[in-house]
Amino acid sequence: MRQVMRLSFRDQAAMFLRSLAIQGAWNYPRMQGLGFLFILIPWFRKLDQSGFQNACRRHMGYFNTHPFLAGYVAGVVARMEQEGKGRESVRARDGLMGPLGALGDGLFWARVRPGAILAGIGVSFFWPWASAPVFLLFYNSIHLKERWSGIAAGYTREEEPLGGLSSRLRKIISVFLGGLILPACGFILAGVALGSGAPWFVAGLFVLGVLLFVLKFNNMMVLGCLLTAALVLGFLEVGMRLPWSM
Amino acid sequence: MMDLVVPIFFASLFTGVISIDRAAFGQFQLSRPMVAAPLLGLLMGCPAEGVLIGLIFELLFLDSLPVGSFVPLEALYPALLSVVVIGTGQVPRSALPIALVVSLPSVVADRWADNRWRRVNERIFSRAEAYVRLGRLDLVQIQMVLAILQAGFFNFLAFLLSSAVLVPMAAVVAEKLPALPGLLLAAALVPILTGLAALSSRRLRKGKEWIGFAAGVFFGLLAGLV
Repeated sequence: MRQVMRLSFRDQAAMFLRSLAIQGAWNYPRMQGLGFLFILIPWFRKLDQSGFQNACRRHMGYFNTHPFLAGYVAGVVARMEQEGKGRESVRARDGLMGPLGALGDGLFWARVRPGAILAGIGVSFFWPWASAPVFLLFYNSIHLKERWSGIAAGYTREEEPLGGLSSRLRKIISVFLGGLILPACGFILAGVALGSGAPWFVAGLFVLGVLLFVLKFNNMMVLGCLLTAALVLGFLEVGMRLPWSM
Repeated sequence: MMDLVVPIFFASLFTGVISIDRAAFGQFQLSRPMVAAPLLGLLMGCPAEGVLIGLIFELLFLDSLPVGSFVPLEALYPALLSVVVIGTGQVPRSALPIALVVSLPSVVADRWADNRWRRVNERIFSRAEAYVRLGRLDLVQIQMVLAILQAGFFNFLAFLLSSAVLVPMAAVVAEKLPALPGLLLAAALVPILTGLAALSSRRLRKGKEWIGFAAGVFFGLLAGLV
């Protein structure tokens, strides 16, 4: 086994910046394949000429995981390639991408993003201009931290892949943020209902919307049904307003 | 009509640049309607309407999640198009809901641009694969940059075309539609309620989650009444 190189700040920064483009060439047959190789090119250049060529060929193929956790897989692969475990690195990559994809979807798309959006919208009732900065700060503080630390975690903790991700942060997000989504929905609904000047009208439309979703209608169908209901009932409601005053 | 050319071109450029953030590079969420619409509104002289439009569309598409390789419908185009409609004065600011409804079909153009980009990337990938075999890694990296720029180009083109159709159409609709104040406001509230209902319905099926929702409503009413 070769001696393992230290992952310097510069190496990590190069991989981090490139990991932002992981989906840059997303396509249906190979998905993030080119983006994954793109992250690793600066690291592979440190290998000898034949090692470099072989590593590039090995990792130019199908790859798909959650984009924010791709850095972790890249870290694992970088370490293994550097140790001369080329073939094992392909198995590790293929084994990690599925579980990390599922983990990232549940964590970032289903919790962090709706949570950050709802936080921004909640703030908008008091300071409408602050909604976008609050959302961006909230979301990117978690997103960028996970992207940055994932690379080093993958590189240094090869033997325990999921322990490398900041597990405490994950737990906080899953329990705290996941649990806050519904209360935030309720809070915003109350704000919209009161702000509109026609609370029963708004509450009725909301209940109708929930029922239609339970009956498996999709977003556009529900939008159409609610719009029709609102247009019919809208004739009766005079003096309504939007909840945000600018 | 000619006075629309410059603002539409300018807004399309803005859309092309900011849409790169959506998938191709960064994903800092600058392309979310909540962020992009106020930014364009600021540039087009209607920042307050930009904030409002952004919030409404954000809520409508709150439940659109890109799980796995599924690409959901996004609200970027309708939100920015609504800002263009208001910013160019095609619809009076008081009739903002007309802009929201008329701009909704632009999600089709958005889907076309995204699909086209992903299809073109298949060719880029094949070229890059050939360059890897030849050991020309410099050219592989150029392919990557090209793919990212193409995301911007397709979105620029799709937004330009959809705006050219829908922005003048908004003016026609605003002119023909009878002025019904309740109707207009109801149309603006519906997207908000659809998004909230979508997000809530999935979670409310679990029994205990009702408590959290009820607590949120209670505190919301308290904050609103106080």
